[in-house]
Amino acid sequence: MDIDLLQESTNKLEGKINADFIEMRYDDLQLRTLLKENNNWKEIQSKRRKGIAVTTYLKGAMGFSSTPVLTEEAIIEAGIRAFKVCQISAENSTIDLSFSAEKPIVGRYSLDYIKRHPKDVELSEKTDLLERGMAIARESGGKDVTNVKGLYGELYGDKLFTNSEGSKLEYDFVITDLRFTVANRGVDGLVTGSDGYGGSVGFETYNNGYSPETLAKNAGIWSKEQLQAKAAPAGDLRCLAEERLVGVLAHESFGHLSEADFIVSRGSPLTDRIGEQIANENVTIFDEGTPDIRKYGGLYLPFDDQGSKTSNTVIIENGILKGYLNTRGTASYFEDQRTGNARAINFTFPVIPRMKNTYLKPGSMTDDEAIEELKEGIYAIRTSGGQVTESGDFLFKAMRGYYVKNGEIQYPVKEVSLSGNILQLLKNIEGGTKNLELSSGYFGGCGKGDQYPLPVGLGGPKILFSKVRFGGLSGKKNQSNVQMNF
Amino acid sequence: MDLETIKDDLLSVADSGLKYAQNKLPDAEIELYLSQNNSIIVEIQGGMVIARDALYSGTAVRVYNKRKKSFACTSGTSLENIRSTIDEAISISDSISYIDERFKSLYTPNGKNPSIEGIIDPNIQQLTSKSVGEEANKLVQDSKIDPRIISIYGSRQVSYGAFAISSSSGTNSASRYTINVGEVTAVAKEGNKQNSAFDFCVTRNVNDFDLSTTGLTASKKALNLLNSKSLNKSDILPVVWDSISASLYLKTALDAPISGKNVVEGSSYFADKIGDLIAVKSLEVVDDGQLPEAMTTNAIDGEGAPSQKTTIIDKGMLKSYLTDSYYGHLLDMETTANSKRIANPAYEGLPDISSNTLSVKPSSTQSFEKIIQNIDYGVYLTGFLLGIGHTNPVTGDMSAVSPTAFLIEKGEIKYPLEAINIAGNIYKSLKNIQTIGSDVNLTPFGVKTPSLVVDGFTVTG
Repeated sequence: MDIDLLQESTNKLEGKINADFIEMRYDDLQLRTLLKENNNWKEIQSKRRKGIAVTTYLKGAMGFSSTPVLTEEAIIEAGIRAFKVCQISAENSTIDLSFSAEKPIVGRYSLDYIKRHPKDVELSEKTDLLERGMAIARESGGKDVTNVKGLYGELYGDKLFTNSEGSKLEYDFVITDLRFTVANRGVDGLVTGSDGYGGSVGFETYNNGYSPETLAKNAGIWSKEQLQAKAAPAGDLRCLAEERLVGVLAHESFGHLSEADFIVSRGSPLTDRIGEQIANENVTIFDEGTPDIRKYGGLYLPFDDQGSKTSNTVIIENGILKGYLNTRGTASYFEDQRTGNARAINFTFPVIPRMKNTYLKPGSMTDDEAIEELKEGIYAIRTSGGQVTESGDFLFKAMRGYYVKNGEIQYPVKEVSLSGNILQLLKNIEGGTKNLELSSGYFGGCGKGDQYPLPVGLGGPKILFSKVRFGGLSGKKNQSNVQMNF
Repeated sequence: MDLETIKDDLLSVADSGLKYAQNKLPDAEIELYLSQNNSIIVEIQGGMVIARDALYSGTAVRVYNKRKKSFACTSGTSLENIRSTIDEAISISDSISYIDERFKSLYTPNGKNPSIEGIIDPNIQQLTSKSVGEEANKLVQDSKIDPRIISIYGSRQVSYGAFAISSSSGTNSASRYTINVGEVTAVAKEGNKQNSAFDFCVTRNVNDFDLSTTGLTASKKALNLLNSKSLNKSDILPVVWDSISASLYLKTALDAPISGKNVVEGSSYFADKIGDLIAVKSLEVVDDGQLPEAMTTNAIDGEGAPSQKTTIIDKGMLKSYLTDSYYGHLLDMETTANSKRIANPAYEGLPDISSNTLSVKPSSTQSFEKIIQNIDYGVYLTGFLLGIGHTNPVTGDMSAVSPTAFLIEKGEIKYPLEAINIAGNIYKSLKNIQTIGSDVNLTPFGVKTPSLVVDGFTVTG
């Protein structure tokens, strides 16, 4: 499939239907998963997602179709189908999300900073990467290790986009991911430790701090540490949250509430609150498309799936709500910026507002200063995800951490849940450390509706909270269908 | 796509693909899985409509080359796509050295008579996107019965399609399905209280599909929940599970421990318990892969074995595990045709083991009214439970929250409760089933069950 054929199909379709606007996107994405468990290769899987998505618009409503067949005939047929259902949509919709044509965007973008693209690396080198870590993970986990897992994942390919404005975009999409998990048998059952790294990074990344040896060793050490860990005290405590946990908090609890479809349907607690002070002055949250990956890590997303250039969207600035995460339709509806948040998990789905790289702005403390400032509380580290309700009530589990007293680490704590309401939590931020870290990856991702898992980036500095509720279930109603598995 | 010809169409392409693969690797075991699906989906949320109408298709290839396993899949079922996927699967199997010593062979047909596909209604092909959209809209309009209903999600889906499996061990079969779905979730709010409730209709045909009361029911339930009060205690209480919550209960209590895979891999709670009493004597559960109206019924399972009925629990005793051919070999049992491709889309994952419809034999005398009348103090659960999916599959420890429960007091359902927590060991609770109702109901969650009363869980509110 080439961009000119895609554009020709768009033009041809325009001649056949009476749509206000047409978008066509093509993905040819290759996914691979390598899983080694103990001494067995459990899984080597390869998936290809190749096809064309057609979205048609009429009177502010949309209709969608797709096809895995790349002939012009099949594409046009999909377009006609999309328009037929678009007309139904227009008849039944009461919200007008129409948008006006703008200047076309033309360009070809590739990830120049990548030195070794995964498509140029042999499968044997990828299996070797895992092999290098497996023995080290087991060794550093100690004598009670029951299970060691190594995972490598990659997702890459071409994305093409055209629309009836005449936009012509071609860009690369790359994600790689390496992780190790070690399980240890303790007195109370199994405990685990894991470490990994992922994002829009090349194969060359997996050395030095992100080498399989380092990641595997950490997984083993942290798993062994959990054997000595004590249960964290329950109740409201001061908390220093590590970068990835901060990222998940920012994404899961706050980012989703800013996705413009929740605002349009008036389901989000941030509805009608632009301009309001909803957090402390030291809280600024971004949702960025193209962070400096070499410096911070993350997901490189130059365009969304409606061909909008991704911006560095400021969601909250100094505590004030500034804007939402938009598609072209919602940007128009709110007279807001085009933020480049229209994404679909693959070509068989229509776009909905999704996040890019969501993170809190760093502060000014060093890591040591942050622990001192914590004084007494929990230093909570990493998370495997959690859930949030539509009203902003969240529940996460920190995978590990330490109990801090008198500004010093005392002992490791077991996996512990953090819960509360995100809007309240943002008011409890006292400060952050200096360095920004973004994480992204192939395994897990963001879930919304039936579009799971979507790769996203998230992070921040370490953040100091004056109060977080630890332990216990939040037992809240109205569980939404957003779930993070990171 | 035409329901009349789809099976033959898929099998024909699969056959070409298989020949291509066998040409490249004559001694390998090779399986092709192809699927095609036509779906119209219209969703309405807060006045916004997301409407889609597309033909989806995909191919999955499994290669066992001298017992070295590989898996590759692709969107699309064109011969070109199939060939490149076969090439990919072969190149993976060339690169890895791991030999699966436990693998004996792919499923080999043994002349069993073909099973039924389940209800196939060709009329479903006549449903237009116009009628689908109008019905979705009507669901939403029907829900607008009260200004306290602040948010409505309505969805209408029509799907039909087929999958085909062709393998070097002689499998060459296909199965179709037709599905009609309508669902509504309504959110009611008053003051500080906010509750949601849902209702749905799911059928395999057009005639039995009826959305006339769906929207109304969802809203009424949501509004009723606004009257919720706190339970204000933590105690071991009898819990009545309606057919929806009982579906979750039964799947959570049975799916993991009766899976042949978990028995072999050492994580099944019911390992070595065939013949043992694991539940109350009145419990009889069959895995029914041939129930015509169930969504989960197909003529064949995920590796082409003809679907069947398997007795799991009889008079409270464990009679059988559920398995596919791979774990069946290791358990020295025939496959029970419970191989399922549970990924979404199905072609993107390896087959796993899953039940079809867990069918519970109802009592002939315990009507729902009688069940409630016999409870002095307890709770009645309806709908979903949050966190039941996080039940520890190895130990059975469960802690889940029901946001849609009711208080039963002196034989009457009194009022809705604010979210309550139900905790306990779900595997052990099978012996604490006090009553099995007569009000049997097929739910779209792969379970056909009446209401159940279980005593022994700690209920906290």
